Amino acid sequence: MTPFITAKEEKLVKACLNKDRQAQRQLYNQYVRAMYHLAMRMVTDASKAEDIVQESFIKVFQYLNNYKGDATLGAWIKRITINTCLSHLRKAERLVFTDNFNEQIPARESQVKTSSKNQLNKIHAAIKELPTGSRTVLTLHLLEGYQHQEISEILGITVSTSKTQYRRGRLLLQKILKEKYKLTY
Amino acid sequence: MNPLEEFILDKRDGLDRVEPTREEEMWKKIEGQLSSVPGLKVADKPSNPWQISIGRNWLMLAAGLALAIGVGLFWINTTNTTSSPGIKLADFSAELAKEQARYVALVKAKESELEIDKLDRKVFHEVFQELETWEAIYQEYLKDLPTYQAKEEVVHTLSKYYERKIRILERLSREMEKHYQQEKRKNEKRI
Repeated sequence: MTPFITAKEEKLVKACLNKDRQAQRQLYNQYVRAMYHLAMRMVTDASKAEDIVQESFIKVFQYLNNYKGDATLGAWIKRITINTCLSHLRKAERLVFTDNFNEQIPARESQVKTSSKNQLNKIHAAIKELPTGSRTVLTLHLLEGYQHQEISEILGITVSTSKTQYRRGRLLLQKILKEKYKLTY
Repeated sequence: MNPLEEFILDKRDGLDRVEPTREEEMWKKIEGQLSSVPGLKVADKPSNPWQISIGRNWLMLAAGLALAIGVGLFWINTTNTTSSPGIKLADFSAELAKEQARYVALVKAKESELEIDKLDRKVFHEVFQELETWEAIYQEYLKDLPTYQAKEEVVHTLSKYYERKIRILERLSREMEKHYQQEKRKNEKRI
């Protein structure tokens, strides 16, 4: 056992390795939502996101014996999902890092009162409207907790490009939220 | 960190509950594929880790029972010290308290490895701030605990909190390494 895996997870992994279908379903239930939302934010298309989730879970069960507990199980599973998403984006030639942004910072205005849930729906929708490059970096850095160094290695870009894409993605997100969804932060 | 980033991090889990997911349909397809991938076909019988042939293994069974009683007593002692003030996970389930105690031990081990108490908080201000924010979010989770319907959901939320906390501590470890390298280079230049 390592610091990244709990006794319960270890038991679940072992059962999955023994091809116990109930355990596989349990693992699926535990991570399907997070994986699907991650895929949706990266590829923005529901049917492609479903394909990615399915493909990722097959890989998870196929390569689970390679999981040595050197990261949390969730992080390992998400990394497989990220790689699958990137592979789809590269095949579709959608993974481009454009410089074409209007960097004007939206002025702050009085906030229209909306519920947290409503705000989250709008933020999620606005993230999906970002250009692929900055959306990918923003998803990995802000939502998945990856550092720019790690992102640069995953995407094959420089650390500086990753930081620039992140900054631009964040500004554009604020702009979309303000102009389209009337949300200001 | 700007207000938008703060809001997103604060409500991070909520962002994974926005889209409707066709969980059953997706699982059916996965199940179908699992049956056709060589080496992934379902086991003839589901594995049962508790199945013991008593006739041949009575000594093992007795030892197991003794161990279970010992571990049980240990949990009773530890769960009271690991739960947050006011709200005890043990009130909801002994299993949850056990899970939390394990995670707390992991975090403590990491913190003592980094000698977190001796660190200059000003130098690693950002990371410490993130840890504090995360702690505040966790306290909110605890307040909401009685409203959770499924135990799995609580375990999932707890796991996510500790996973994130461990990741932040790992980041702190990297920042420390970077800081010490910079200090070393500065000293070398002075020499």
